[in-house]
Amino acid sequence: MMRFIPTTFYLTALTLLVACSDQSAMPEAGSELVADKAIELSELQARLNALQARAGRIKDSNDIKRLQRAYGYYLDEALWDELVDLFTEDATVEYARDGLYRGKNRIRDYLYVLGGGQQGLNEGQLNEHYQLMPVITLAEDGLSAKGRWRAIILNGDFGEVAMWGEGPYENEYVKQEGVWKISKVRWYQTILVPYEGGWGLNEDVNKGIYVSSEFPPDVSQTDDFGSWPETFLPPFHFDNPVGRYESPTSGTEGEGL
Amino acid sequence: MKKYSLIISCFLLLDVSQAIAQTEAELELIRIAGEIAGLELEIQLLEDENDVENLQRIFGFYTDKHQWAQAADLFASDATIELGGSGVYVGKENIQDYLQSLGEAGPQEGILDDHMQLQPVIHVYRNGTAKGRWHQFSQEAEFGVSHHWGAGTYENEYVKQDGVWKIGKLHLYSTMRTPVDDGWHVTALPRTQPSEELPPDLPSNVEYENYPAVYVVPFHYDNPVTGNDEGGPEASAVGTVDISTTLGIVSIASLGIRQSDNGEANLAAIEELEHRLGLLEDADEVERLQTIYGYYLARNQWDELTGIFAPDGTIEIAMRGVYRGAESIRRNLDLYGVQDELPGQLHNHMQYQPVIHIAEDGQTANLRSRAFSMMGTFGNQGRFMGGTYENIYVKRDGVWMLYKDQQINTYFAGTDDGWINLSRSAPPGITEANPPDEPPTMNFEMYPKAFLPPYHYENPVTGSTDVVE
Repeated sequence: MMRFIPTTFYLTALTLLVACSDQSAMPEAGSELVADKAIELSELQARLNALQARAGRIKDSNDIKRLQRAYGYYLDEALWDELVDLFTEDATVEYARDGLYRGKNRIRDYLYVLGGGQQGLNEGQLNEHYQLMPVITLAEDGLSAKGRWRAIILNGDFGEVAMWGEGPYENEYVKQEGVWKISKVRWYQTILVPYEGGWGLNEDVNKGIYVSSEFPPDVSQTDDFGSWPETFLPPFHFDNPVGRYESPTSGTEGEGL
Repeated sequence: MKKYSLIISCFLLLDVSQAIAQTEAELELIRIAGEIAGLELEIQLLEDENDVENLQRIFGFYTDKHQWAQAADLFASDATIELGGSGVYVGKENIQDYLQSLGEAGPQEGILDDHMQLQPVIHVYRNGTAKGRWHQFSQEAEFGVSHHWGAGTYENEYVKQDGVWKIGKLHLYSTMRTPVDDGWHVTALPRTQPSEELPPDLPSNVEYENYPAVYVVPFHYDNPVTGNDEGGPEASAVGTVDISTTLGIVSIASLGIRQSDNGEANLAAIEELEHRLGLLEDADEVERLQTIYGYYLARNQWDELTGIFAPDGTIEIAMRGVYRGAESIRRNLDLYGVQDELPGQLHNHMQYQPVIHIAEDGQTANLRSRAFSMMGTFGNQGRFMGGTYENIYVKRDGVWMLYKDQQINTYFAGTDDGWINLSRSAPPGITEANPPDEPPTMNFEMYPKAFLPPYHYENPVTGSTDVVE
């Protein structure tokens, strides 16, 4: 995971280079100079520290995006062991209306049940889960984060059925020993409908219930969201970044796009 | 270069005794200069990551409109391209010839060729190279003839030459392709075959079959939690000296000397990095805001959505005209449905493939992105919508706001009807009962007509702004 050269390495190289590059440029040490620079140095160091923290937060956010996208690529291929390795020991997973599974081992077992007892797809299975629209919010201390995402799903069994799916995530992440991990996955199923007729003519194929009847969850569904054509708004982990506008009326009947 | 830097270091060791003569303050300055150089490298890698994402997304926008010459210019001179089963074409010229063989250049009436570039996992390495895994999700149609859904995964490589990122290797592994009328459970088309008219320079370098077969596209990176290999050339030898670090040391050295003359140099270096870091934060904030726009739009949260606009901002969707200011924007949103009420209604507007450029002063930004919408009311055939945004953001009192929201629609298509016989090319246009403040600023027609939404940016490699081939 190391991407940067250790500072000590720089320091050594730097000291060597500066020492011989241009000795005449080095002023003689005087007590006045040291006093001036002591003030300046503390200010420089403070600004530098602030910058390092800000750069670290951008990298954290990028790392979290890579993590969730890696999750998506593993999910596409039903690579459960790889996927479970992205979680913390006490992570939770709750898909649609299937209830909540807690801890890596339970999550692994749940995923294997979802996969029909095996890892990897069978011939004829399609399981694309595109991970889109990240809104990442890092905690002040930089050690945890929340992320909203949306998945588009192309699901299918050749010769049997093809389905469109879609739904948002509200997930959580923690940084442990410098490595970001997923601590909570909550995926809300907006639709999972047959290809023919799509969401216009079909109700949700499974009402958001996958395998919880044969493999009961640790906690039953933690909210009361239903399934298509019922609609719902999963809560946002973030406030409006600019500020909500308060309209005088609730609006008129729309004509749609 | 490794040997070279080692020799320098050995030579310099001869002078090490003189370094000991430095005062504590001088050494502190040198230490800070070292930290600055480390931070500069970190910021550089973050900038590189954004540049690589922009590059691939720009490639996607060019190929959608068959801008083959523009697309080919994004490649390094010795680059390779391999799309599906068509074999490998080597070198920029051959890549351009190959791309041109895929269809007449420029946007064509009756042709839809949207290739959405999704879900990037980018790793940038210290030697000026990068790798990226992406999903591609495509909507292709020839009016009256055919229409298809397609899916694939890229494992690409990028290279930075003279400070400019280029595509070094583009490899699209095709996953699935199906006619819209059938769906992937009924008809799954095989990989493409090498062209006989323009044979590839090399055969395909990996054997696999499209869905319904199963093939896991090799990952360029290890598991991000349990693995250590991010796919870079130095992954197995962390800490070794490569070209970029060697150059970094030289620049630290010159910095250190200047500081000794003049304490201002450190300050100037820090101010420069503050500026660059600010632009990175701005790019993140703009992408985040455009994404939040999509979430609010998806659930008819009109007051929330209106709130992210600047007080003097505008919205211009589907040639409905320009609505200016919060009251008008809010009124415009009434056209799309009743606030917060969505019984039996789907209104997803996925936002992705953003190409973001922040102005040097950090106060304005341009964003090109695309939308893919899944819409409809239960009981009626649902619809897909595809479109392009060219938006402008402004920063006011440190807060980014949406200043100009312009959506150029590509199509509205029924989920079952698809694009093959889609003949309605006129966008919705002005609603007399709820009129805009100003007429549309841009006239366009949707598929099956051809239209190229203007770009806010030039070609990132050549600087060309030519949009016509």
